[in-house]
Amino acid sequence: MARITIDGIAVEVRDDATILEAARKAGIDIPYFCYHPYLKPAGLCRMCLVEVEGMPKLTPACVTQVRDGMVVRTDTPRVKKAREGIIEFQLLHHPLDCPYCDQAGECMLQDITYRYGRATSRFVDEKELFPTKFYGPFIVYEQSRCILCKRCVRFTHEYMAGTDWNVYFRAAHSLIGTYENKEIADYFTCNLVEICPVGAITSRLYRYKVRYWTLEWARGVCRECGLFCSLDYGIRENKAYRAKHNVNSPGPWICDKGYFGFECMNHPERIKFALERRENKLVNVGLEKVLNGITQALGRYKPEEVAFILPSGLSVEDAAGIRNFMDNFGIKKAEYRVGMEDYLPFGSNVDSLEEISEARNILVLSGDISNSYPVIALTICEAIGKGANVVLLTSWDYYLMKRVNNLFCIKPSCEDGAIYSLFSGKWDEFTGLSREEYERLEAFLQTKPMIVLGPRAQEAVRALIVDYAIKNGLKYIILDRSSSSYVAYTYGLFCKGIDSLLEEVKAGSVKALFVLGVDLFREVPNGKLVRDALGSVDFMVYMGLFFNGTARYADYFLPLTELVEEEAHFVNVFGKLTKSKKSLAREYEERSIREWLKLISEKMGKKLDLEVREFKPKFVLVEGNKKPKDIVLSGSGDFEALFEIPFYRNFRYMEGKSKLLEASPEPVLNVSIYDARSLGLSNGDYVSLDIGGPSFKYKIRVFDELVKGVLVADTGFEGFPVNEALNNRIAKVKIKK
Amino acid sequence: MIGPLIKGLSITIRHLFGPKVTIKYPYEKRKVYPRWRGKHVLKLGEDGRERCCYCGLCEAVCPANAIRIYGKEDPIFEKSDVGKIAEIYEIDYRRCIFCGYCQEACPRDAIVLTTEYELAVDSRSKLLRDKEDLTEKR
Repeated sequence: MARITIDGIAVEVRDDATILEAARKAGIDIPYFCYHPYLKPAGLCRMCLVEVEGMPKLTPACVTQVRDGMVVRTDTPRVKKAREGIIEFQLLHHPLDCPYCDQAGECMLQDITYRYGRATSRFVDEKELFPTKFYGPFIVYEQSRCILCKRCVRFTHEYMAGTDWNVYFRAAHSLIGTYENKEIADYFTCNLVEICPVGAITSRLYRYKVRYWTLEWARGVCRECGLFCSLDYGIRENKAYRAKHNVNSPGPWICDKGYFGFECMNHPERIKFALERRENKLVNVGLEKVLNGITQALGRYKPEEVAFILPSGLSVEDAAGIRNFMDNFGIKKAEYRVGMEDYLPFGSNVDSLEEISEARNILVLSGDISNSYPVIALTICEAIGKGANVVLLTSWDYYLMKRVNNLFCIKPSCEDGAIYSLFSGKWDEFTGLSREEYERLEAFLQTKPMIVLGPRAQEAVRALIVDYAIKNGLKYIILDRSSSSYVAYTYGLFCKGIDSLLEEVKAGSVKALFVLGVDLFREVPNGKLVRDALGSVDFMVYMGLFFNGTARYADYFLPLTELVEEEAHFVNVFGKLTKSKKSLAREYEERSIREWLKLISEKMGKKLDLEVREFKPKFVLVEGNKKPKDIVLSGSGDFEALFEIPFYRNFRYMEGKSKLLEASPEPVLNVSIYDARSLGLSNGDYVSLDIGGPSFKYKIRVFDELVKGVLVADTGFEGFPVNEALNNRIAKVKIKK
Repeated sequence: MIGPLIKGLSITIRHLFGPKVTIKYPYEKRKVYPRWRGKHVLKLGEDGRERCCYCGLCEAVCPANAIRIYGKEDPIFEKSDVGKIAEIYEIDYRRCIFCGYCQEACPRDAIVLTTEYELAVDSRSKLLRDKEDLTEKR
């Protein structure tokens, strides 16, 4: 510990702390632009110059390490003059257009100029103005306003490792951007907006809509993945206009899904009334009639003929409400695993994202972590930046594949087999791993790495890994496809899997279905089964925000609340509880899942208790040793294709998030470089994909890291029913030019 | 007794032929000083496009909370432009106190208080004046 004095205040800090950190601890304000608590110090902006006794010149506080007995002064005339000078230089070409700038009100340059700057400028030359640039659907860059603090560049280098976001050209011509002005939509682009201290990088979704000071901030929780990041939503007149991350919950950064994902709350197409089907159309007949209709219909069925299908991002209260409703009426069937996963949550023994970022060796298995848990992928990249050795064994992970130190890429159908053979200690040549690769992986396993397992792996593999990790004292995180797996499992809201449930619906043993906010056509890989099941279902209630393919089969549509329209608690992958407050008033008939169930239950004469007193997540215990199931590939052809929903379409209520959808406008087919060469394909070509019957038009993206003979195709597009031709995520396909 | 009567009548008669203080209001308008603060106008620029860029300063400064604005990206965007215009611009005349702070705050001289003072309307809802109502007519 070092004791230093700043402006007469004594403060004790760590030996490796900087003067700026010490000053922040002592409560002394030192202005800065380029410093950021979660980035490495750079000393670029010179705004934090201070006077240190014994040093002839002024010193930048953000890069100077403290020394025991150091005496620092920040209030001398010399420091004041230096600050004024720096600001005058910063404003040399910075347009004084705060009235038009979106950052005004939260701009550091504005605040610092107001507090430390001169009232006038001595420069008489005309300011140089540059045109506005749009890098992709999310980011606007105003070169004139940029102060070149390089915060965004440092963020991309330290965390996102491997993007070409950088400073181009030199000196007065410097500008920040991508090579050849190409688009940037790289999962975490929103952090560039958040981190920019001035109005140089702003969000296109928020662009020019409202002013910062008219917003009120409401604490909410993003429900896209199992991390449940805490966000603040900027609200004006009962509408949300922007999101803002509140630091350190659970990590300092967020992903685009959360930052731009609140758009569905005030989407014009959102349905806010309870609807009933009359002559093939859903019409508004009034709440009372809808409730009467549902209760009458439910009275016709036996409890075992009713089933629930649950969404991801289920809150603890909603899960408890569903459980109590099912107990009230003796309903047994509910299913949350809509992605056709065969596993239940195994949990993890890692407590925070920090633990991942500080790990020295990480073994990332299966996929698609960057798609379903983006912030964990970012933290893994952060660990790479800190010098960790990260090994990835997967068939497809768009973000991590380009960024890890060691990549073992295999065929999608071999994934589970390869992981199983690695952990059971027996090399199997059919897994696509060569003997040498297997030995390298096994050697890496001896370094006791942290294991991160993606949502694609089967139950047998999961159980084996948990068993291995516990026996060998490894840290592990087992990620589930559904973010509501912890609460749903704890409340027992699962049966034998979505496919067997849909088979029962098809066979007629389940007649009434409650589908809560899931578009089955998009989420269930076996689209044919969904169509058959929904076609033969007797009675269906759909709860959601938007009208979609599944709602088309519904007899009743009940509007739900989202994000800050209800109070809710969530459990993240580390088992921690996050709370979302109710900050928006409801306009019409929208209610949360539990409130709808309460209304229905009370109509049927049974009280529904909604109070949750205690919640403790339960996990599956590993029992026995099972072999992974063999994946039977349907179709025929030379290629093995993996069908996944792309990142910018993989969220709840996709219909209402038009800004995010702009980043993934059309279905893309990722082709390995070998196949692209042999077929004569290049980026941007269109091909049709033949999946045993119908064929679908795809845009080609050549992806260097893929294995020969493997294709990765997008699903989840409206009017693009690939799922309906498949019965699993993986299939054999043919390419036609 | 007759004395005060004559005195009073003489004043009346004198004012009968003297200059008049009142005006025949609806037919004749009272002249006001050029700095009179009356109805607001959203000025147009020389090129006929609106000057207001939705900086929100008038809204922020308004002591009576009478102004409500939302912005949007300008659909017609040229290089020299700001690229931002007001989507909604409302002044609630039930609340406005005609202090003129909005005019003072405006960096682009877009909102101006004119000398027009006949603001009475036949329904309360008409007192909420929207952007179309406020924009200068040419």
